[in-house]
Amino acid sequence: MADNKQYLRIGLLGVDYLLPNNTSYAIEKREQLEINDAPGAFIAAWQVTTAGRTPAYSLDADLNPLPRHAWQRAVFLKAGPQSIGLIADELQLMPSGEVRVEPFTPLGPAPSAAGHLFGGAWVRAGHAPVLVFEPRALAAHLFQLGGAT
Amino acid sequence: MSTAVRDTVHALEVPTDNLPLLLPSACMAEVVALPRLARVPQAPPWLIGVLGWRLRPVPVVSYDMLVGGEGHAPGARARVVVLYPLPGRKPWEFVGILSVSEPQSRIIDGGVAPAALEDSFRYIAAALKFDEHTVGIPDFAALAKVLYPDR
Repeated sequence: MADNKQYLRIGLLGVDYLLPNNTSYAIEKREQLEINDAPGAFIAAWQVTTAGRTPAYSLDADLNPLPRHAWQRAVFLKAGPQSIGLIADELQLMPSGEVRVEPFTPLGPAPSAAGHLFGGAWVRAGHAPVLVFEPRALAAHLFQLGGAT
Repeated sequence: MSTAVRDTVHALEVPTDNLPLLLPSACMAEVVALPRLARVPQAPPWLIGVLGWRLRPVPVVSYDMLVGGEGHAPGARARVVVLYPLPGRKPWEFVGILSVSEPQSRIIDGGVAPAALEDSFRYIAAALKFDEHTVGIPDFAALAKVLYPDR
């Protein structure tokens, strides 16, 4: 039985993750953002609003900071009163009903104060599982990278 | 006859790079070839990835790395032993243990001798001597504590 939720597929350097669509998020194109040209910066850009600047981090597939410049879009997560962004190589809203997510408990200590980064996975025959982000934990992971001021 | 049957336990010897593990067959759901795993970012190195098994995600653990040993890429003969959920865990929380080659069937009976083990082999409840080599029986309660420390 397929999952009723929709998911946003986020591609990071060839590895896919899913973000549940019950998360409040916004997708911004590169040209709508203020680009950070500083060499080696892992904040790739800022979303500028009347409320201030929100950083968008550039990460590798293991979610470690990785400065890079060839990207086109970022996804900004709403985490309580704040937002925080992540540069993506690919973004695709998966059609409703296409994805079936099973619960998944990562092992070992949680890497963020908000818990484990993943809470489910989409498993298909012949493919490696695709992990599903826990949005609060992903936001907490991005916040703890720092360097935003 | 009835005593012999009662005292016999079927098990699998799971080869690792250090201490082979002896797992009672009743703990195991299946032994599968090692497919492409999904990496788990920001996880401990001993969690080598996630296996898709019967349309479920199953985390796969390297016992060698869990006890502080060196990790290396599993070879073509590697297998994953899928264990039923550990004590106290949810019914869908299967766990995979990396086996460096095909596990071997063993029968434990009264003729198998206990063995002493160095302290460096953690999460082991007891050791047994088979022929000329020693195997360790995992301490599943201790494993559950290290695999699920937050819960």
